Amino acid sequence: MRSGADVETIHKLEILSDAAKYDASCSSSGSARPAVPGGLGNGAVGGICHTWAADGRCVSLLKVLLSNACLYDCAYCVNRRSNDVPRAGFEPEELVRLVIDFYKRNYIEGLFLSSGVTGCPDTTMERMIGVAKTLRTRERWNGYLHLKAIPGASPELVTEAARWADRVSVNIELPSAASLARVAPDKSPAAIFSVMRTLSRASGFEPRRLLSAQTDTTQNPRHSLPQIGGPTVPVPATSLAPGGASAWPGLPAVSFQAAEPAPAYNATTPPLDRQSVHEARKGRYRNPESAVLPAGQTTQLVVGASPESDAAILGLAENLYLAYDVRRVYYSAFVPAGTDPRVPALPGPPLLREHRLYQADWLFRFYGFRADEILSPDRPNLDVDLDPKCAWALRNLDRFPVDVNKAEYLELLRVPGIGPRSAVRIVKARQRSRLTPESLKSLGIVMKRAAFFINLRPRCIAGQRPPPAGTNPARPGLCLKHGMINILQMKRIRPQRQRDTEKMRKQKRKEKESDHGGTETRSSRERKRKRERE
Amino acid sequence: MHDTDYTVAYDGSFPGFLCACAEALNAREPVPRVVKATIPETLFEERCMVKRDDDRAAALWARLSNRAGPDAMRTLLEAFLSDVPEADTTAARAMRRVRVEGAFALRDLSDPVMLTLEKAARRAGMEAHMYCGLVRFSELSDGSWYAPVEPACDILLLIADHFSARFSTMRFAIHDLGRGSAVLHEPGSGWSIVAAFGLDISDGKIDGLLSDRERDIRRHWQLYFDTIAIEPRRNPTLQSSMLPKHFWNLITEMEGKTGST
Ligand code: SF4
Repeated sequence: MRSGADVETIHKLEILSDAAKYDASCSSSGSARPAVPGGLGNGAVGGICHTWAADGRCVSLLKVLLSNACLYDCAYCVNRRSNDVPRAGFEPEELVRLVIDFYKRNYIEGLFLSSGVTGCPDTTMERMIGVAKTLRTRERWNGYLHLKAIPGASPELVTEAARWADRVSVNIELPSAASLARVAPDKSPAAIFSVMRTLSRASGFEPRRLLSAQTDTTQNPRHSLPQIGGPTVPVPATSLAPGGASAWPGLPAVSFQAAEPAPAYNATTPPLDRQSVHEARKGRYRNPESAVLPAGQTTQLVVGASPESDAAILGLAENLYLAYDVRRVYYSAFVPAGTDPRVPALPGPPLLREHRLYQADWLFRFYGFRADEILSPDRPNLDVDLDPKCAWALRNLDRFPVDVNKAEYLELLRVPGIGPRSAVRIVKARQRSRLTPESLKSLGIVMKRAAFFINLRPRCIAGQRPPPAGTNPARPGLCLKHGMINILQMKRIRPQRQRDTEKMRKQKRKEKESDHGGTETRSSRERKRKRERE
Repeated sequence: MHDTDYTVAYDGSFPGFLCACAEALNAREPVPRVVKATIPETLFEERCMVKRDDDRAAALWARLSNRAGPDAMRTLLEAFLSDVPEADTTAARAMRRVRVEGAFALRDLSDPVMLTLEKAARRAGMEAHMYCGLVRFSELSDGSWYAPVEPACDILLLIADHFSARFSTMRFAIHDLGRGSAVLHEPGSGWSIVAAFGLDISDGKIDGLLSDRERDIRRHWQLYFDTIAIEPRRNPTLQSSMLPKHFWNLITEMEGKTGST
């Protein structure tokens, strides 16, 4: 028999997890909170995924709202006050029990707790902090705790939240002040970014102020807090500066000079005037004395609910990594919910765009790319058919082929087909003996792509000629023109493939069946398939 | 003409393996291969069986740890526990170089032995990491916790520390159904591995042993799991590439979903 309380909890769990699921933040990494004797749980610094939902996203934390009633009216959000949905709220005790029960069964790595704004930002924060405190003190629970800060909450409460949590975050959601004013009128840039600055300090990092981009000469460099303002009508994407310099008045923008000292570069790479996110993070100093928040802060940008270009989004993201020590920026494809005229009516969430943005984000964090290498004002959006790294490589053919036996780690990383793991393996493997195409393959390098961009014998770089007709084009050290043609061909094939995978798989299965009794020949089958594809 | 293939065989356990390695390390050229005793002897093989001696194993372990450090030792252990064919033989060959050159030898991926070793270790390490998330405990009516697993690699040794630290106040068993072994943890006295473990059940189902609340909590979790997926983003292909279907059998939230292979 299920008790009444149990039925109620189930009901609330359904509403409040449904309301929280649009936050893309999933990670449970960054905290090595130790276990305490007699307590429950600990942190795993690399994070642990516990399962994957039917949409393929990893589930690591119990992601719920404390309450989905909200005073605000953000057009992209299901919980906005003008949306007619059932409302509910957890009793703190109820939620604590749920967390402990799930945690002990190893269903989850911890709790992600957010809330709609009830009362004022401060009272909402206080209620969330209450749950956190109970978990940490009474239950002696040391699992991963990600708290959402409410824009506009006081610095004291945000710091208090940081004391109990492993990670606290606030979502920027809209990539420009103009869009924020239009789509989420109750939130102000100041309310969001002041919380971010507090969080940055709570993780031991004094927030930087990046100089504005050169295009942005009207800015007073001493203003470090963003101001509300700007037009409230939709801004055409092309008029936005790539770095979002004009997108967030007074806010750090992608600039040519970061506040962080520019490193010395060797002569083989073109002179860069600014640190990449990868470098900045590697050498980042966090003051252990003021750091109470082990896993720092993250944030999220909604993709597709406002007209900003990819360049604006990536520029802002890069800036946040550099200036506020944001550990991760999440990009969340806008899922149309309802018919609010302030947001576009999309046929579905722009998943491919989101995917490309994540790929570009990886290039920042692990590959040493800068935003202006990936996109520029005349190329404001990412290529739909090519991943950003490949697109960059094709635009920068003069930097190839790379000699795998000599190139530095970061140079290797720029080769399509070589990722961090294979780059490390290459560096290890070449210490003892020269690499050959065979050894590269066994190291896990995707030769199909990499072959066109690497050279195993440096002497061949100069005076390279296209191979005589009839030779195998997938040979390493091949001239780049052929490599490019091959990749461009891939470009044409790929989107088609994505659409057709499902279909083709079905067809293959059918064919297999008919192989046993069918009379079709292979070529007639192929012709048929071709016709169908067309 | 065939050369004689010298081999040293061990009983299948890790200490036994270390003893066989000690034997092989001390042997004169040609270096004998280390093989499991269960592998049938071939015609040209000259095999010598090594008895398991825990002290001898511990001595070798300590000596190598001193030389190469804990990370290298973990790599060797992970490779040994992987289900890659002849991973043990490879680990034994790698050990020869590790003894002389230290951890540096493992970095030499141009040596096929080291490359195979790294791949095997990676496989076991990844699976162990995966299981840190996928182990599902059920509460039994006596207040202890039980989790069945079916890993490809023998990962119990690799995950025991993680779960004992995390659930230090819980009395639990993680049971490898395929191998029959289990990690047993008692609060206050740490964990141990038993080779043959069985729950005291007659009909093969553990339902009768579960605590009263267990079923309710499972239902809560399943509901949460189903709700958290965003419908317009539904992507079963991505889901099963992240979580291959052979894991689905023993995972609470996948119960009743078409995943069993
Ligand atoms: S504040 Fe805005 S985004 Fe947050 S719950 Fe309320 S409506 Fe949604």
